[in-house]
Amino acid sequence: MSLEALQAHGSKTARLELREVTKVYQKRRRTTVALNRVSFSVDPGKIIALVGESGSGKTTIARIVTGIERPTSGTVQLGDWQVDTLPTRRLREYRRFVQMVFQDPFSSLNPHNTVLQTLMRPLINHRHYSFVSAREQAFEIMNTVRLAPIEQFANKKPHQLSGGQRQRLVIGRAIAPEPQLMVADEPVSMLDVSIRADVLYLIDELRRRTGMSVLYITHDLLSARAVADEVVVLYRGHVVERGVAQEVIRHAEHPYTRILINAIPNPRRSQYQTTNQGLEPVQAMEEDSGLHSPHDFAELDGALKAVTTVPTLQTHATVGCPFMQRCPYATLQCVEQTPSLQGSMNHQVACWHACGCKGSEPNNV
Amino acid sequence: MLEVKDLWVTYKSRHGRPVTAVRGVQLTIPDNMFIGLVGESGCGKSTLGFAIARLLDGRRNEVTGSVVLNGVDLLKLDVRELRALRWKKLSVVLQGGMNAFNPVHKIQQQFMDAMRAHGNFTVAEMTERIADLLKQVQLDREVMEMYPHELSGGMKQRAAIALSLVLDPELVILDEPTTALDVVVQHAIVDMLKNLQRRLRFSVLFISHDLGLVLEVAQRVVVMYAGEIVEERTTATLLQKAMHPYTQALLDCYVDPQAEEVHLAGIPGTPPDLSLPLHGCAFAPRCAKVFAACLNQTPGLTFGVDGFVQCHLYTPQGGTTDEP
Repeated sequence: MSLEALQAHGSKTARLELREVTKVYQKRRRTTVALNRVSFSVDPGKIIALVGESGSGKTTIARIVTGIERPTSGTVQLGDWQVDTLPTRRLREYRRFVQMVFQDPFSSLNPHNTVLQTLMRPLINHRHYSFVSAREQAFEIMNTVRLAPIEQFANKKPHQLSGGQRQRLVIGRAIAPEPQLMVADEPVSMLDVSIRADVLYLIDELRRRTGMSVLYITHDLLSARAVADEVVVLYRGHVVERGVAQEVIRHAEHPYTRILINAIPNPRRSQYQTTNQGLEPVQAMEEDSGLHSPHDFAELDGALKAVTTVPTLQTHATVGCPFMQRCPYATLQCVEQTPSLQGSMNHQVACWHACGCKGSEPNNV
Repeated sequence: MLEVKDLWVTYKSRHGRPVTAVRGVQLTIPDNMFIGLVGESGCGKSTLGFAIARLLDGRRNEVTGSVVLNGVDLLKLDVRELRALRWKKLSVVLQGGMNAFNPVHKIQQQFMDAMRAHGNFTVAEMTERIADLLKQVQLDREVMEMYPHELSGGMKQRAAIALSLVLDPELVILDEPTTALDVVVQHAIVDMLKNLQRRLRFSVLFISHDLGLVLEVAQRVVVMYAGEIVEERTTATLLQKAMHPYTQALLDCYVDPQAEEVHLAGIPGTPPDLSLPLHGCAFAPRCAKVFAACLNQTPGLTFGVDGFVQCHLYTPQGGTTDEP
């Protein structure tokens, strides 16, 4: 895609808006609330990161936004498209405007198709290009996603590409129909640390050039901080904290967000650990478990308990904070009343003790 | 104690050129030591782990050198002798290991299978042992009576780690044990593993592409590139100053998420094709500090107080006076 064509495409941008989206799965007598009144929007050309652990509802949002599933209640709008009530027959037409990038670049490409075929197909199917013009356009996309020199890559099949190259090809395929929204579900978590930056900054560059919006789904707050404009932190289908990426991550207020930050491998943090105890490893293990870093690990320990116990039937309390079982700061108020998002548009948090736990701010080492 | 001497592994292929994935590796794993092995995909770190555990088929691969575990060369053992050693002396947890549980048997059954195959135990002994191990990996006793599908990914991986410890091995090789899990679960498991190792005092070879993670758990770090070990040091000294430019570049990929400015760095280029012979230093094409000697001379090892580095910067040509 030439730069001019991409810029011209800028006029076709759209805003994604989710309002009070709830998704309930019913299975026999078991009810799971996957999303609970989730609202957020993505402006054209912006990247919003949806952050949370497995089971937090991130992927359910992706499935609803792409029209694979419908919300139980609430509305989803992309530009003029009313996604939540979209008739199935119009889905194909809609998908031209919403493209996905998946986690596993090894299984999301057809192993029989060459790079060129992979890129030409959406051009022919969605944009009705002729074979010759699709070929021309596919070459330009290869340049855009840096699969160059073209002669060398055009006829390669996925197994001949490295992980990073494969993911760049998937991104190329996604931008081929000139989408208004790209939904990237953990696009770099299976790649080597050394090539993640390359792929993330490619997505960043493309949204700047084309004005497409990006919904970036991840469990890694570091990559969210690096490319996203805004961050939405999800816990069990509830938005617990949201706002400008820098603000939310540097001054995280919700205990859950801070657990996510603590879980990021960070050599600078472990420096503290190793100089303290790494060389004499077998000293009193009892001490060892509590004393890892200058960070506030009390809350992390709380989190670990919940992860390791046998999952019981999920009884979703209708009142109370969704995080209370794992929260070290939980009080009676958290059990009796559900916190709602409070704060400025730049930074909102749903926690009764947001200010209370601020006192023990994670210190930067 | 495990000693790997001059280990070479070549994958033979009927179609293409043979790929030499491990090239002359020397490695010592002392008792009660947590060693982390890091490198990008395709640098031979899993192959090294497989070769040590004798998981490579001798008919299709060529493995030379020696892997000596307490005076016994594993590479010279026949299948029967090897089986006697597995699980008791050395066990392995693989990346997809958590999905290798048999879906139609309870967790308890699968532990018992391994125990029966390698020793004589009464049912009561086995039950007690399993309950104890599950407790060690912070799982509830009820997990014994559960089927694999009833467990989450993190719980399955904990169970897989417990299974590897069932006969008290001296060395456990873990190949990317947390890669498929999300960060919070990963952190919890790695923490648990670290405590377990410090308490039970077995040795660990922890293979991962994530240097940040390895630095949080390991006592020594081995960095592999293009089938060779390019740096081996204690975690503490590595953190103070990484010597090899590759290690430095890997370390630069990690930034503090709460820093004022966050810019992710990568390492441009790709690791070399291991089916071709290497000339000079394998990292030279991607190295920021490359100079003439790197292109045509293979760097030797420069030893320091607590490890070594394989880089021209620290040989007389490099002119660096730093001690590794």
